This record gives sequence, C-alpha cells and structure tokens, in this order.
Amino acid sequence: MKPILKAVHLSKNFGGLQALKAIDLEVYPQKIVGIIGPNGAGKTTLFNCLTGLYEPSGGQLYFQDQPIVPELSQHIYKSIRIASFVFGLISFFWIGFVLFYTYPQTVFKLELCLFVTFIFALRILVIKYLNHYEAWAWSLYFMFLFIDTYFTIRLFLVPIHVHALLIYIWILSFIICHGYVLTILISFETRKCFGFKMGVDRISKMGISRTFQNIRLFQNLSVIDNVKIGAHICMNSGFFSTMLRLDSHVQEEKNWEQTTLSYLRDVGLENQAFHLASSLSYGSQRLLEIARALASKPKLLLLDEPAAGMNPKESSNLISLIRKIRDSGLTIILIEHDMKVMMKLADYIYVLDHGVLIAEGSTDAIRENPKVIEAYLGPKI
Amino acid sequence: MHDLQWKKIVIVILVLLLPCIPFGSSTDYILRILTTVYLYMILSLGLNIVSGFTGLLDLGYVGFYGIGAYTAGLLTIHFNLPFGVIILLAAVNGAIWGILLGVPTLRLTGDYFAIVTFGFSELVVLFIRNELWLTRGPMGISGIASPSFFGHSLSESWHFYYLVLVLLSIVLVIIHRLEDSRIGRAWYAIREDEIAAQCCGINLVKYKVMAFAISASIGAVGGAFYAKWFTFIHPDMFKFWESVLILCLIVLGGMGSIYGTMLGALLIIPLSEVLRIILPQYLMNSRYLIYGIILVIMMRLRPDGLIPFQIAQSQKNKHAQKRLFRHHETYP
Repeated sequence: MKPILKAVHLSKNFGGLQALKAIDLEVYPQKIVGIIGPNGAGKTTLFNCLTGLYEPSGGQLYFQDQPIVPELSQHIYKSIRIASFVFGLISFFWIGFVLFYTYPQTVFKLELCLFVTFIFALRILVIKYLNHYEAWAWSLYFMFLFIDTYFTIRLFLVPIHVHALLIYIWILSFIICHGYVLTILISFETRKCFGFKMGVDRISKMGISRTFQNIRLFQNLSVIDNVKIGAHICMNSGFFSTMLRLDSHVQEEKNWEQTTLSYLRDVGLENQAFHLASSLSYGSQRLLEIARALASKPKLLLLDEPAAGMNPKESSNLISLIRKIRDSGLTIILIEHDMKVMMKLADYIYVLDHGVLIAEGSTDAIRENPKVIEAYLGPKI
Repeated sequence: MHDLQWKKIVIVILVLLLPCIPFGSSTDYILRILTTVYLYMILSLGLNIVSGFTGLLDLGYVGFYGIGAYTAGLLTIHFNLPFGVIILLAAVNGAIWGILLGVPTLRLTGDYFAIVTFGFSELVVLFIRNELWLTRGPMGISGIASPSFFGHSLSESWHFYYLVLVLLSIVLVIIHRLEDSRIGRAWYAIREDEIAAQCCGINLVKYKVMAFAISASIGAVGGAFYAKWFTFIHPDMFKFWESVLILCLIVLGGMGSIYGTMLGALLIIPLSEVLRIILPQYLMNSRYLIYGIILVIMMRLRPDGLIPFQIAQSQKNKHAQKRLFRHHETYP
C-alpha cells in the first residue's frame, strides 16, 4: 500500500533553533497515526509545516505522491541558474556589441574595455545572489533589464546595412533570456519566496484539514456558520450567482444547510447549531473544530490535542467519534498528551523530542521503549 | 405572517409616504436632509464591507467617493450619457481603483494598512486638484446636468429622494445577499481569524480584493449620485474629514451590522442640521465638539455600537432556526 503522506528529511529552523531535524514520516491510508512527545518537541511545528503555515527549511513533503511544498529548492534554483547563466554570458558581449554599432570609433579604448569587464563582473555577482532571492540582486537585475531594453530600442533606431540579420538574432535572444527569467519571477513559487503566502488554501484544497491546539473558531459567528465556512472549498457559487441569486446558488445553500447540520449531528452539537460559537463550552468548541475540519471533505485530518480539557466521559465519546471518522475512510494524524486516549486510538506512534524522531512503532513497542521513558521521565539516576 | 415582516412593511410605507406629507415651506429642506441621510447610508454600507465584514480599517474610503463623483461629472459634461450608464461606469471605475489599491497593500496589516489607504485618499484629492486638463482642478466642475428619464429631467427634491431610495435599496439587496453567502462568510472568517480562514481553504488575497472592489464600487455609486444631485463638485468635498465621518457612522451603529450602520447615518447626519438650528451663531463651530461628546458617551455605554455585530448575528440565527423549523416537523 502506498503512504498517503510522506515526509522526507523534513526540517525547520527558527533562526538558530532547530525545531525539526530531518524527520521521516510515512502515514498509510485509513490509519490513526499518533505523534507524542514532551512540550516543545516540535509536534505543532510539524503540523504547521504540513498545512503550509510554515515553510520547511529543508526536506520534502508528499501528499498522495504530490509535493506539498513546491520544490522550489531544487527545481527553481536550477532553472534560475541556467537562465541566469545564459543571461550573463549573452550580456558579456551585449554592451560591446551595441557600442560597436552605435559608437564605432570608441570601441577599442581601454576605459571602455574596463567598464565592460566591470559590468560583466557585476552581472555575474547578481546572478549568484539571484539564487538566494536577495532583494538588491533582483533590483540590480531589473536595472540591467531596463538598460538592455534601452539598448535594444536604440539598436533599432541606428541605420543598419551590413549585419541586419545578426541584430535580429540578437534581439530575439535578448527577449528569450529576459522573458525566461521574468516568467520565473512571476511564477507562483517565486512569489512565495518573496513572502506571499499562497500555499495554505491550496494545501487545504488538496485535502488536508486540521484543528488547532489553542482553539481558533470564528467566535462571533454561529455554530452552523463555522461549519459552512469549513465547507468553503466544496461550494462554488461566485459573486454574480450570489448577487443575482441564481438557482444554482440557492440550491447549493439549501443543500449545504442540511449537510452541515448532519456534520453537527455527527459530533453531537445539532441542538446548539444556531448559537454563537463563543457561547459553547470548551469541550464543545473542540468538537466544533472537528466538525469544521470535516466539512471540507478532507482525506487527511490533523487533530492537535483534541482531548485537552475534556473529562473522562467526554474523552471516551471523542474516542468513539475519532474511530467513526477513521472508519468512514479518513486518515488521521493525532497529537495528544492523554496517553490513555492515545494508546486506545493509535495504530502507529511517532515520538518526537527536541525536534528529533526518537522512536516509532506500535503502541506496545512505544510503551516499552527505554528512550521514550527517558524523554518523558528523565534519565535514570 | 411574522411580526418582523409587518414591521418591515410599515417602515417601507412610511419611507415612501414621506415626500407626500406636506411640511409647509420646509418640505424641500427636510427632503434634502433625508436624501443626504440615504446617501450616507449607501456610503457607510459600502465602507462596512471592508471595515465591518472583512475587518480592515480603511481610512481612504472618500477617495473612491471622489473617483465616482468625478467619473460621473466628467462623463456628463463631455458625453452626456444616460444616468444608468453613468452609474454603472462609475461603479466599474471605482472597482478598478479598488483592485489597484487592494492588490499591493494586501500584505500590510492593521495600522499600516490604514495609513496606506489614508495616503490613497489624499492622493486622489491631490490628483484632482492638480490635473487641470482633466478635472479643472480647484475650479471644480459646475453645471453637471441633472439625470433625466424618458425626456424628463429631474429637478424637484422628491425626485432625488426617490432616486437615492432606489439606489439604496439596490445596494441593500446586494449586500444582504452577499452577507448571507459563501463570500460573506469568507469575509467574516478573515475578520475573525486569518489563519483559521486560510486553513479552511479561503484565499485571503482573492476575498480581500473582492471586498475592496465591491466596497469601492458602492462608494463610487454614492459619489456619482452626489455629483448628479449637487450639480457641482470640488476637490475640497472629498477631504479626509468625510472618511472619518463615514467611519464614525459605522462605529456608532455597530461595525459589521447592516442595520447598525444605517441607524448610525440616520442619527448623525440630521444631528448636524438640528445643531445648526439649536446652537446660537457664535457656537456654530462647536457642533463637532458635540459629535465627539456623543461618540465618547456611546463608547462608554455601548462599546460595540448601537446594534453590535453579535446581536445582529444572533437575531439572524433565530430567523434561520425558525425557517428550518418550519420545513421540518421535528427538530432537524
């Protein structure tokens, strides 16, 4: 069977702190995978990487064999390097060539040769730092782009008799090399590098949905509206169909009202469907988070401490709920401090400590593992 | 029939009958004040989309108001297009500028965003003042022809009263429909919690820009009506103070609640006229002081506005529950 989620050497740094160090995970479909570890072990960081809230510093994540984090580190670096190498090579001849045609008498002067060499060195430098997404390199790059454009236009205005064909080849190559770099620049992955967070909603559309450790409900909205927002990606009425109240829109709203109520019935909140979310008790709010996550019809559900703050009866209800969700065909990754819940639910457990994967195995193996006991209780004296 | 529907019908009849009641010589005066009130209702409903629903503090709303007014003024003077076309073009122009402002400023949050929008409104005024070839600068545009329908030019006060009423109801219907839909819920989600909204699959960029564009186009519609009604526009009419006034209406009425913002306009705009009558001549300029005092008192007594968002929501939920309950014999 193929794993639904796979992490290969996943790591995340915050400045000097390594929150995750080369984690390897494999999650198989229709299983409940537990992640445990002491506080600060990097469990929630792992979840944030999975949902795209953090960008991993290294490694790869695959969901159903598709990379979650766009492979900018390898793929984009490579294409930028190739493109910019071509660009640099061409630009070396470029200025001399233009000057030769525009100011024929000055071409072979020493100062000019030095100047061209300097420009060439600068361009090579820019290309080197372009790969690291340095702002100054990109701005210099744009400056060169404008200069090149200027010279291209200039070349058109100069009377040409002899090497007309050569000039057109030149202009073509100019357009190709700059066009290539510009295309990379406006592509999704590069925009992401500049701080546009484009990833999170796309990842949730792929079928990963999560709950939060510190409850993040839409507190001032009603319970049913919370679940409807969770179903956002399954609905598709746009601005005009809403404004004109087309039949498709009305029908969709009606259908989803029933569907959301059925989700609420599953978690046992249908009696409070029209109350404000902030008026729910703590345990109910956790259940509502699960209902909201389920409403987007995910394939993988990430639960971050769902049983925190629940009494034994509530948590036993939660256990049967999570089992029911699993049996309906979902895969679940579970973070939980309550070992009773974890041992009852999990099929496979990963143990993290200070960002390192210290153990993995079935529940029984983990219970006996000396490393895990040491991480939780401290070393033997 | 429900109580609420009766109430609605009574209010609509009262609003429609208002111009027919003779107020003696002051009819025109009262109608003009009411038209202003409805105009400000349109504007505050538009601003409410960005500031109330989506939760972004927008201090530059008056920029779009000005853009709409100048679009209408210039189109009337140069081409004399029919009123419907002008309103549509003004709305489209407002939306374009809303998108142009929204896309680059989306990465900013909170106060920084407010500062940028403030800068935008100042930019609009500066542009209007300095680009003489287009806007005639500080001379303003005068003699904008009144809208005409089927050959009849609108001139009386009650004509404009009904015109603004029609515009207001169109805006109200659109906002009502948007609010209770996928788009409106996405806006609320962004306001309540951006991270959770993203994890629910809401594209922040798309929905923020959408809110901006719709809000801007409603502001431009208000501006277009204003230009046609007043027949004279001037850069000084679109100063920062207007933005603050509209924001005050929303804050007073309750951020994010539709009827709250309308109530805010209904209370504050006539107040300035009432104060103009009550106050003696030498205290005339102190009416801004009284605005301030009223706002302070309101914030002390009802910090979430007259009709807070939560109350409006729970009211809406009650109706939704009743509606569902009617369809099912048992509780769903």
